[in-house]
Amino acid sequence: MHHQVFDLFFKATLATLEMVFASAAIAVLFGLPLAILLTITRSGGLWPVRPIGRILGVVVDLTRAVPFIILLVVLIPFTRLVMGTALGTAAAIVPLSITAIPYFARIAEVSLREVSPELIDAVRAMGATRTKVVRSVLIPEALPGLVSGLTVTLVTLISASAMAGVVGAGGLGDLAIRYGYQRFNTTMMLWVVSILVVLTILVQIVGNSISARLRKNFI
Amino acid sequence: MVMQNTGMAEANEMLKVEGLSKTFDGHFALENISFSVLRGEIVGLIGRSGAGKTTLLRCLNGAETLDSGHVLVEGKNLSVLKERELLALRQRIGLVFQGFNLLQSRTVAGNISLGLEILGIPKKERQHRIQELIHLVGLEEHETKHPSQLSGGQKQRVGIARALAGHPAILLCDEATSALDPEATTSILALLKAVNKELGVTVILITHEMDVIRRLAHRVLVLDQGRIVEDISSELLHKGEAKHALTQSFISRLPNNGEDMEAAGYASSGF
Repeated sequence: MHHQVFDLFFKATLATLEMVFASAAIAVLFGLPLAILLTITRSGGLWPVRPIGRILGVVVDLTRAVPFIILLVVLIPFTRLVMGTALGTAAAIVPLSITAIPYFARIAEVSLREVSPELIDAVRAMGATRTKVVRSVLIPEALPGLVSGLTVTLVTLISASAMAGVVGAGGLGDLAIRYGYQRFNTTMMLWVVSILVVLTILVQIVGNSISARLRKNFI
Repeated sequence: MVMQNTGMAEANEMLKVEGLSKTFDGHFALENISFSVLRGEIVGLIGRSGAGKTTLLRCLNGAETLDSGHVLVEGKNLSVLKERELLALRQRIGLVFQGFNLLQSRTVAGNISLGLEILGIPKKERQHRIQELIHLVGLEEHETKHPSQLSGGQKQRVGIARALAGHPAILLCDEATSALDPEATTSILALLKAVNKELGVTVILITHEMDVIRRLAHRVLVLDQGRIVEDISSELLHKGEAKHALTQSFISRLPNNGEDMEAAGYASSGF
């Protein structure tokens, strides 16, 4: 591969990784508490304040209903407010995070809900505070599932980040559109797709193996 | 303060339940229950499924709001306690469950540690107590195993160690041996007996198996349709002085005489 072309690929891959991992980190930071709230506010839950759960549920579902490409454009003013600019790799992290937060929250919620209610009741009956139950029971017991959920979120983010070229974010998707599609460079297109496929497979393998290692001790 | 003006007899009362009633949708789950448990006693609470055993256990623990009556643990009325005080009082009561309720994400030592963490004991002090408890329940060789690698009896030992972590005054066992095979049941009952004898912990056994009560309890309460229909010492029970038909039906279901069964058990295990 030509030196300059290699440079192009290298930068694009870095940009994609930056977008994907930064938004995934933000998705966990906000999505996990959201998932916990969605779980514990259910009736019979640890903190059954139904209105809070309902409102959060509606917000999550509405955000998830908006297609990413629309969100990307609609969020431009908000992105400018947060990042100071609406263009570039860093700016793309805002819409990517906004789409990944509710996505991860819903997946994480499923894992959290699978933690035995009997176990939660038992630890509560032993005199544990709600915070203690969340920290020592809910999250650790759901961890293998949470890791699987994060893996799925990362894969979705890799694919979504390909659209971020719309706001000049660069990355592999942008490379494929500009060189592969607009300049009819099929080889370039195939290379980009190959890298994306490899990235996705790598994320999946690493995620699955961490999850499997954690799950080893579970029945 | 309640404790200050109580006499000797009452000071010896670990647990007192007075006129307790609990309804669900207008239907009595527990009706006018009164009994008391003395310090160091092993009391068996027996009833068929649906008799209200688990509801009663939840009331003793302050997990249910009562419709009337009250529960006093070491002289403290549960229904007037604030949430913080209730959490503190719950820590005076060790809970042992039928389904063990262990954390799969933690090892044996980690699960026992949970009992200490709930009490707010700092990490440095926990380690020593965990070792003590592991030794007490005889799980020295299994310290770093996860519950999925343990047998039912071993899991229940972890459950008991966790329940004992904070030096509780009472151990409430909810069908603690119902999920175990006969051999494991025998070893868990022996452990509970030792805990009662050596640590002086008051034990309340909730069960549907008369055999468990026969082997361990000093006194039996029989619960039927939300009411206590019999409150009798084991001695009188053995002499066949139970008055209520349900108690007699529980006894009649025992394999003839208890001693015979134990003898058979020893024979089959090679003694």
